[in-house]
Amino acid sequence: MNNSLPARTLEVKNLSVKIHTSHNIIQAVNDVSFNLQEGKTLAIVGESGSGKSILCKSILRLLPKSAVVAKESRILFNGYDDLSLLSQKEFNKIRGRNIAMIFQDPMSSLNPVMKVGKQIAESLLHHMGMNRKQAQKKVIGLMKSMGIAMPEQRFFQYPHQLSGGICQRVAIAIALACNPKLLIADEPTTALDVTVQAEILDLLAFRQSQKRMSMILITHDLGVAIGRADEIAVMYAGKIVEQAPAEELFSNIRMPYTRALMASIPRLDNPPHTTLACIDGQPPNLARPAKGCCFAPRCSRAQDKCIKEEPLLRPGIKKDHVFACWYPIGEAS
Amino acid sequence: MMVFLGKKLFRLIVVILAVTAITFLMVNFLPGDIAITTAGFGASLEDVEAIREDLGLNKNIVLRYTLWLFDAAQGRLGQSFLTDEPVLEAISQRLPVTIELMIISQMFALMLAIPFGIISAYKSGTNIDKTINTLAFSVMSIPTFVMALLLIFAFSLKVNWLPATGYVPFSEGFWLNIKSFLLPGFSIALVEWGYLMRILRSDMISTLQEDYILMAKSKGLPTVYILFKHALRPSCFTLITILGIQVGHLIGGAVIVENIFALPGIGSLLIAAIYGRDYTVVQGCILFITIAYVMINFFVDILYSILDPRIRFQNRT
Repeated sequence: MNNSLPARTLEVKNLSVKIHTSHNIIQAVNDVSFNLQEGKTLAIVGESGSGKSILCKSILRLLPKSAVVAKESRILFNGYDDLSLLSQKEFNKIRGRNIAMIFQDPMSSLNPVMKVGKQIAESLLHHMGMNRKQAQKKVIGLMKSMGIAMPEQRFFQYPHQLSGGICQRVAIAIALACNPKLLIADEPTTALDVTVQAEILDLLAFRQSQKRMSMILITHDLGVAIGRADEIAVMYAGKIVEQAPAEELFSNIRMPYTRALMASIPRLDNPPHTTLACIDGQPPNLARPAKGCCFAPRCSRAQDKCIKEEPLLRPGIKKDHVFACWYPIGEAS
Repeated sequence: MMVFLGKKLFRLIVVILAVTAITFLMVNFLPGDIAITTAGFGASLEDVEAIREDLGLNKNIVLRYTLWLFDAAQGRLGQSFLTDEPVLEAISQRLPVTIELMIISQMFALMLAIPFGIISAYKSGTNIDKTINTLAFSVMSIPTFVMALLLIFAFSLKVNWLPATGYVPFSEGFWLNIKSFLLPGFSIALVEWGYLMRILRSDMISTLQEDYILMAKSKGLPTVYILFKHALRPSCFTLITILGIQVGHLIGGAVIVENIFALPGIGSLLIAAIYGRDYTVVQGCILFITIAYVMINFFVDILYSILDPRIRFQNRT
């Protein structure tokens, strides 16, 4: 490998996912490509139903049976050429060992009838060939480093006896047990108290810098993404509509959708009783995709061309800042 | 825990009172009379009256029930009118047969229902699932006695592997004893596993959609491990409820199966007693079956709290 290029942990090429429902087919993810470098964080931002969760679940083969990944999709991971070519058995050696995931709701992602210690120990027993005693010791250490007080007692407790924040720490301990190279965090703080959110994100950032782990952070909060990620991809209607390094995106938004998202974040310096900006209209129906730009019906800058022709991702002045818009912000329309 | 047990005990007493009172009344309303049967053919009306008085049947029904209740409370269930055998002895002789049949049949039923239920939930909507379901439906629609006759035809008459009828007590050899229960057990299990399988399947399908199953998958655990270790336990609550009801039925005796295979169980004892208007035996059997029912329900409740820690900790507080 060329030394001047940083190592790529993950390369996703032309990923498309269709979901078959009883009466139609939904194009949930539409031709998405991105790279993720070692030790970096990519934030995927989008509103509900934009396909960000499906995108990540398809990397770990966690999609429901009704979802079909397109044949031309390629997922290249660190050393393995193409994850989609692996058999289920081979894939299970990577899943949980090299790629791990944290889910949105910690209360429902932990098994209610199994002690949390055992749930953390499972992947150690399975992937690392540890015996029970070694695993228990390691788990208690892990729980301690996740900031869980009294890990020896917590080990034998059930999820319903723990708070949401502790549960999410347990979920993170599960994900990080085998020191994965890539962590996919699917809205890890959405179900938590605001005060706990920052702690969890700090914990993730700390562990990430310690282990040079790459991370995909899925969030609907552009503010979180800008603060925590190196690179941001904005998803809308199953497509990436803008992607740039975090500071570049923050200072130089090109896509009207991203600006609308940005405007809908409540700000501390807003005077009291300011009306919060929101995006008018509904997200598009993915069962019947529009011909032109999918954001056009909700876009204040839309013109005839936007409805007729679909804009493709293209770089602007800076090469690493791409966006899919005919009339981007900052260019005369 | 003591409060919990106290409540259960109170319920047991209420249920026993209600059930025994109702059966006492119903047996009383049956046409025919034990006195006439005992007196025999050609007896005079005076003879019958004398026997009635002797057995205490001429007393008021409320008085008779109260007397029976007091005796029963002291463990005196009386003697059979027909055979003079003590009722308690008759029941305790039949009980091992009934319990063994119950255990063997439920074991077979679960051995079929659990793996098939899991497979068909995991493969739901596929041809495997449809095949298993069709199979389950077709055996469910076969009556137990037809199943019993089919099994006798296949395994006793055609290949002569197993005895067609008869009961061998445990004392005459373990294997001979088990052998006499295989066909009766299978005839119950083959009809019953379908229900259990369908119930497990539907609960399992909803469990498999839970986030914690996705989480388990994301750990890279093998599918079989996930199905048994993560999904089975939270999916078997309805299964256990239904199983408890089935076991209760079987304690009352699998009358038809006992008859076909000539097994001396509680069911055949009860039937004979009802035909002979043998009040004391009927009452004794019903009392015993009622207690067994309530106990089984109690065990099912305990089993819930063993399986689900959330219930366990609720009870404690």
